[in-house]
Amino acid sequence: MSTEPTTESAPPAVPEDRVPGRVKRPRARSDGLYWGILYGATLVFVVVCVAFLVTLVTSSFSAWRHSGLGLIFGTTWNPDKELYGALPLLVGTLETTIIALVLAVPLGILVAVALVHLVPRRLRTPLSSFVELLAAVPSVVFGGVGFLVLAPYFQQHFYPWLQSTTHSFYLFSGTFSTTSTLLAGIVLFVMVLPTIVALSRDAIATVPVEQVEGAMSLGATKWQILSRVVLPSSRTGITGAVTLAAARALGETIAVAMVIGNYFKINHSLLSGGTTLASALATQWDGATSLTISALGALAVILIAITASVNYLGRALLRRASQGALL
Amino acid sequence: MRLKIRFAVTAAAVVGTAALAVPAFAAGGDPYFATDTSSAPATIGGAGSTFAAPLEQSAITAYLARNGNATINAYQAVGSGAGETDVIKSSTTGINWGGTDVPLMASDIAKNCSSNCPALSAFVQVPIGLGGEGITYNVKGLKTGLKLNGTIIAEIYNGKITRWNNAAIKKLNPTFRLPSSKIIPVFRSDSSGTSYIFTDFLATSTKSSVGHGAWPYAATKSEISTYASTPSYGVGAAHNAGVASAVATTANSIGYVEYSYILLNKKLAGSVATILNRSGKYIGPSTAGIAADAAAKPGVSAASFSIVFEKGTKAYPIAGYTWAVVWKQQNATDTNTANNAVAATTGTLLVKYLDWLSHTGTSSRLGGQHFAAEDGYVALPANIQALATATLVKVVSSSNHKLL
Amino acid sequence: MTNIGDLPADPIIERRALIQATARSSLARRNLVSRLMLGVCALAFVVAGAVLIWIVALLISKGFHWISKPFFTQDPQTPTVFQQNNLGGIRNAIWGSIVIDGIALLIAIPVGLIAGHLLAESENSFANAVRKTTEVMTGLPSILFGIFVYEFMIIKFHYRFSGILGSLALVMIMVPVIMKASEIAFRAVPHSLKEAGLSLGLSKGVIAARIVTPAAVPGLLTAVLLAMSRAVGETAPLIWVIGNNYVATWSPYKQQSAIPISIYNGLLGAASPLQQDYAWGSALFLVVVVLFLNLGSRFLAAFLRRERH
Repeated sequence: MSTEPTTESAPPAVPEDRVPGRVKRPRARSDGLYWGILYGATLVFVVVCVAFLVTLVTSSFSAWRHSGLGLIFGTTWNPDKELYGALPLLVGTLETTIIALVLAVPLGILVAVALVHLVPRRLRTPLSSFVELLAAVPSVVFGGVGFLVLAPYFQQHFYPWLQSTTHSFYLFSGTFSTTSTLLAGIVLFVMVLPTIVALSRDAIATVPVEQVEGAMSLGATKWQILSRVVLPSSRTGITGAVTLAAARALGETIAVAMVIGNYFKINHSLLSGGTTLASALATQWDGATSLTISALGALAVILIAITASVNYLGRALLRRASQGALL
Repeated sequence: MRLKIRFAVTAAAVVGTAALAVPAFAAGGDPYFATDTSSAPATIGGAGSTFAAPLEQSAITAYLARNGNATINAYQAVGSGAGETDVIKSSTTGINWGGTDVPLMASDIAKNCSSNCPALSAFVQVPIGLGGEGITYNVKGLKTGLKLNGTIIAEIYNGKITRWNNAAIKKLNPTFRLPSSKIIPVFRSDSSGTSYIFTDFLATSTKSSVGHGAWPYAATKSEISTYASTPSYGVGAAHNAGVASAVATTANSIGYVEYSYILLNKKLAGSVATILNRSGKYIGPSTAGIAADAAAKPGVSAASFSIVFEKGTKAYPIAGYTWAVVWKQQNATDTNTANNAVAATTGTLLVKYLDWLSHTGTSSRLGGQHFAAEDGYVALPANIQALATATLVKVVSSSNHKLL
Repeated sequence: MTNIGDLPADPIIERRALIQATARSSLARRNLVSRLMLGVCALAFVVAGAVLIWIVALLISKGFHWISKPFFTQDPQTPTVFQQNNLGGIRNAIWGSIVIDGIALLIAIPVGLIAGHLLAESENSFANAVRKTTEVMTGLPSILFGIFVYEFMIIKFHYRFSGILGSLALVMIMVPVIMKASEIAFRAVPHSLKEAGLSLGLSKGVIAARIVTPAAVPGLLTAVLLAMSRAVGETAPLIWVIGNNYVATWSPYKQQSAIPISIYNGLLGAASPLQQDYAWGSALFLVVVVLFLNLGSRFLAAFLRRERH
């Protein structure tokens, strides 16, 4: 037994690409083309997005030069006198969104609860789709129904009833015609309801079943389970849903333009007409002068800032909810 | 005896032909139109005044039946202000003539361009229609024929008169049952020649001592929405059609619309006001009334165009001409000189159409103004038709060739 | 020896008895409250459903009698005082919508699918940034894209109003939607399929084209249908850029009309109330098309999901 190593066959050196744990396949030539196409298409998209932002921002420069900060805080919007104050638009945007949310959040949450806990499991998907079909209806149809059907009815029956019941309360005082901020808020409420229902339903359905069973074992009634366990547990997701619905309401253009009356002064009454940032972009464009178009560009930039940040907030909340965080 | 028979036969033949022709004319068709294919094929399009829209739309249909090589896009009723913008920016909009009830002014051009602005003399204004505006209202139980005057209307629009049963309205209309509800004035929210004619009437009719200066503002296309407190209870609507729709759907409202829109809307036609004219009579809108008003001021031009509140016992006081604004030199829209020939062809069609539109024509070749009466307009007076041709003769191609 | 009776009273047992007594006494009230609130929930659900049914019923009652052959085959005519029923149809808007939406689809589908594939395949910071951008873009109001195309093409490049500009605006709406949905669809393809391709020595491009994409087709189709249903109903981005057209034409380089635009103009007030009424017919047609696309995408997703198992 010789202890000398034999020299006949040293074990062959292991090539780099066969080291266990490191599998490398030879790079095909078409890989470059593959990644090239992928990155190319994506870069086109990115470049267009950047151009989008840059174009809108630069288009607003002449309006900023002309009006300065008065563009945001000015109270008069009169393109013929070259006065561009967007405060009435901001106030109107806020008013309509708040009305829409005040109406849609309670109703939306209740409907979501019904969909998850009241409706038989087999019917849950079809019925959810049924409610979500509301989201598919184009906004011009909502505007048309609001303007031609709701508006005259409101003027003849609803507003007078409101005024007499609340004794011309501050928010419901003053003269009115058919279109109003209130009507716009109500139309928006119908439009954002499906968003709240769909996202809240997801949040409510993902509450851990152990928590529900634990509550059941303590003898809680169904409503006690819902109100003390399910809803608090899903509050992050629901807040995210509400925030995303707000982003949708802030940016709604056509339906609001058709029912809000396009009145460019700040008025304390919800029964008077008004305007929003988005609806002004639709209605002020016809026959606009160059300076007005620049001012509309500035409004567009403000709208981007508002909707993008609210949207981002909403999605962040939804992400945290799906990770189990509790606000 | 034979003479008598020949006379009888000839008379019968004439009567017979006339009898055959009458139904054809009554139906609006012209059996003597020949299809004109002498000009080269071209496409033109116009946009602007909703005041003129019904006239333009009927006329275009009739002209296309006459000229086989012409393509005229449907007239876009976007309002006088937008029409002026469209024709000034014709290189992007493709609009060849802008319809407006107020001739173009230098301030309109300044608003629409930031550099290399054309001068006012780069355009010509062609009169193409004569119409009127009716004051219509929507009050339950109030029949047609409510008597109003310029002062009352002015005070409705600036907020001094707020209810239908106001003393001034009651005084003029003792037999009408006026409710106590608030009046909702409807006005044009866009830049509108119709608003101009309306505010012109308010300013002119309230100037006298009778009016107490109830409307001390100048006539304007777009500032009616900013005067006094109008917007806090008034309703703004875009285009004549929007105002008509707003009045029809808003209870207790009152609004000013071009006469054709009243004819087209049965609900509005059933409640139209009669207005006090300069000679002290209350006249409702009609083609006869508008014609009488126009007849009182024959010397009209682009510089002096207002005919509201003229003297005449039968004159309807809210009336006005409507104009087509056209570039004097028909150039190609881009710098490619090869397209100048195309521009000359479209320019030729343009002036031919506008010339046809502004004339009544003869019984064998009906002109555009023949169709005016069908839609509630008055045919242009003969001297204005001559003015139209005289203006169109000034239009030239890029090489300064006369196009008409 | 201790008696059980001599032991001190067990606080737990007492407390349990107390709790049970309280629960029993409040049971009636709690059950009542529960039934009431659940009734409210059911009512809310009925209300929400009723709104949708009401809108559809309204559209049908107001618009159905306008749907006829001339509706689809004629261009709009102008009613004159003596011919008030002369309304024509919406052929110009239908052709316009087909042209504008068709071109938008042709551009958006490749770009969206390929970019979505990138998002599914890579995790680097560039992909994350793009993902965030896509989320932001889907949330923006669509009119902004119309303004962008107007500022960029019409003001900067002096192009004219035309249908293709409308397509570009719609592309900007559709691409983020397709990107997001296709990323999900691509990620859902089982890894084993890709590994099988790798083990055969296929290049990445072939794997993507021949294996992954066919496997992801159901999800991709759903994504495209969803994007289409959204784009078909859009009005705002088109207002700024397509101009207007009353004569049907297939050319995207001319000014065009589109169904939502014709509804918008018609409902706000056309020259005669008959034209306003007429717009309901167009609205009904549009809602049917959009609901068909939307429902179609849902059914497709459900059906193809079932087939997998």
